[in-house]
Amino acid sequence: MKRFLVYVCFLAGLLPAHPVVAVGAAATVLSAPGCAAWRANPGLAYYDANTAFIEAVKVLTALRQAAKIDDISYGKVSPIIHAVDAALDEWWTALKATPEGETPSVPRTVTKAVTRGLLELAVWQAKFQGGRD
Amino acid sequence: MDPLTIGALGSLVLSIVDRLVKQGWVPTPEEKAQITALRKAVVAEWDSLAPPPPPPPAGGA
Repeated sequence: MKRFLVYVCFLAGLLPAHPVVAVGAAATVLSAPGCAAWRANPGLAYYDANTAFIEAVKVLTALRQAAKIDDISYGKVSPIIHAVDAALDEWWTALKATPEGETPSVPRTVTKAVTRGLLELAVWQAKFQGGRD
Repeated sequence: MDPLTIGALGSLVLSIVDRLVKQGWVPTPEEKAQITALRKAVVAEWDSLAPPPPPPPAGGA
């Protein structure tokens, strides 16, 4: 159930002018129980993390198209997006390398990089969607 | 709340409901590959919105 906290993080990021909520939710995601839940089922967690990431990038892309993200901010957000994308690739590689019937082992650094990146994206979304209209 | 936010929230809620309904479900390798491909497409669309590179200085050094 705790894996859904990643969605909570994303949801908080969508609430305009509430970056503090996003930070609080993401802190929970990054906590030891949150990471443990992700390690318990890395295959499903991979799917969840991808879904949250895809939805976040879709929203940011729409904001960019609506000219709510200027060139300078775009340059700051892009490295975060590529970092999460690369970490998810690493995660996928770990899953594929696991023989059938065995429990996959995904490096904790990878899951942390993904959750931290999702947090950063949530905070940026809150910034772009709140207080600039 | 603007339409963009409402749409994103609706999509999010549907995703969560879908997850809850499928508790215990484990995605197949094909499903994982599909979502990886979708992720690449979304990132590519984001990259396509990058500002053009600045023009080289005229005349050189």
